[in-house]
Amino acid sequence: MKKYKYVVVSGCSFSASDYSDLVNPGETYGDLIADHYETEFYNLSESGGSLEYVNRVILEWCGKNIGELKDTLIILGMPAIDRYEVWSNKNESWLSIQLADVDRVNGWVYLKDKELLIKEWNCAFYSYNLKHIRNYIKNCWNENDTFRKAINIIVGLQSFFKLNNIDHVFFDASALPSYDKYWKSCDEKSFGEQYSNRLLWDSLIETKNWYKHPKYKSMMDFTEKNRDMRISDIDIHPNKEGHKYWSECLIEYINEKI
Amino acid sequence: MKKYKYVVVSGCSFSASGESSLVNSGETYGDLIAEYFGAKFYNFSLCGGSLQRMNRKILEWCSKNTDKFKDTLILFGMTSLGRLEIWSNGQYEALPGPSPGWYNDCHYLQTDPQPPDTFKIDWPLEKRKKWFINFYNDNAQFFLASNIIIGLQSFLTLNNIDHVFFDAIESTDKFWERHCDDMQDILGHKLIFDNLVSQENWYKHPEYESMSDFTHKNLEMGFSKTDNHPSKKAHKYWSECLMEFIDEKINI
Repeated sequence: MKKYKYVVVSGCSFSASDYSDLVNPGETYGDLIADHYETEFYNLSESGGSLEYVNRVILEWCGKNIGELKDTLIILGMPAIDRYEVWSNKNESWLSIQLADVDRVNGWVYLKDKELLIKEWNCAFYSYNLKHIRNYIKNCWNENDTFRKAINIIVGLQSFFKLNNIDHVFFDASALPSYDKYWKSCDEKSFGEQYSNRLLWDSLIETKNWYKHPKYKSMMDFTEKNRDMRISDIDIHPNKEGHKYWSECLIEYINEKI
Repeated sequence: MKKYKYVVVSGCSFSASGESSLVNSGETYGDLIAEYFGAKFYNFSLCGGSLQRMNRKILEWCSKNTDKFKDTLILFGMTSLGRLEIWSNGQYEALPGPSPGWYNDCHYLQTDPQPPDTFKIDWPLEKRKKWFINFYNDNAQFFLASNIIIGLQSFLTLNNIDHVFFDAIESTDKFWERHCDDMQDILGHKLIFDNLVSQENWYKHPEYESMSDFTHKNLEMGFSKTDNHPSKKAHKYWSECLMEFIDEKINI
């Protein structure tokens, strides 16, 4: 059995402890796994983080720590697929955009507090408002394209880990439907068989390192179905108990398979 | 020495054929290399093609040909990192039958092709430009390109697929110093490129920094006096350079 020196986690709010509503630092599944293996812990997760974010911060970490890769265990708590990351010229930094109820005919509906959203956007953008982003979604957002981009990123990440002998685990965190079933949400027929995302997924994605709970489709599915494992009735983020349970599932998987 | 059965090329107009101001099919460097190896040739290059497209097309081909990896040579004629691939619902819905909606041109957001607003849904130029002003950035383009290249190189190496990258339009490793304004590398983008992008399979001409540089400095190699897309002769010359590199460094 390998003795890891570093556990690195990337993901969204289901892996993070960056907001007071979430569990405290030290209580996430990543912290508990790092404790179990007695390693240094890097939690790169961020609330609202997209797959692009997950990919970016992991490659950033690996690029800065190339000497440590063989002693590292990377865990990716995969976020909802319909998020994306943009570069903000005004802030000169990356920014995750979280979509909810995407509707590409009418744009989309954002569930978050509208006032707060407008305030955030005024900081990040040069006169860019809800109408502008609706136009973008109507014109440029498509579930087939989103899934294609996700597959391409995952193929690259998995290959990078394998080539560099980096132990790693993927699992569906806030992704529902899960990544391997997302093609069902896409209109594959009109997209054309020659561009099939399902074929791409089945041919190029390795599921050997993808943890699947025998009962729940994702960590979010688990907290949704177990009130005692989440923050509150209306907040489905995992509580301390939820993180503890999930860390035990992952440790068992890592010890058996990774 | 390997006898490739398949040569696959992905790139932009510098690797493509058939359009006006481009060589005919059968005359590109890719065709000539395939001919040299007696291999079947797949050319996925497109005028205006972006790196996102190059990556997408190659992974698409690979997903359908997993049994052919060991007999395949893939060539990447690297396009400008400043280019974008944008999904267009307007294009997707306007074209009859199953069709992709990928649009490969920065002009989609910046300028108007003729007729104006083609394939746009209630999205006039003035509003599209806002996207460009807010989100388009050379630092970001460089970093996103690095991520794609790292993923591609890892995938190809892991699957023992012989491959060559070369700069068709501009020097990829000079993009940062020429276009990015983060000279202190505060964002760390250059560090990621330097540490994780492999130069091992990257062909560099001893004299020219790209295929475009070669045709620009040798006017007789351009398609015309005003168009520096490679002529038939230029493709032949470049194919010989690449074959020498492949025989020396790749196919050993």
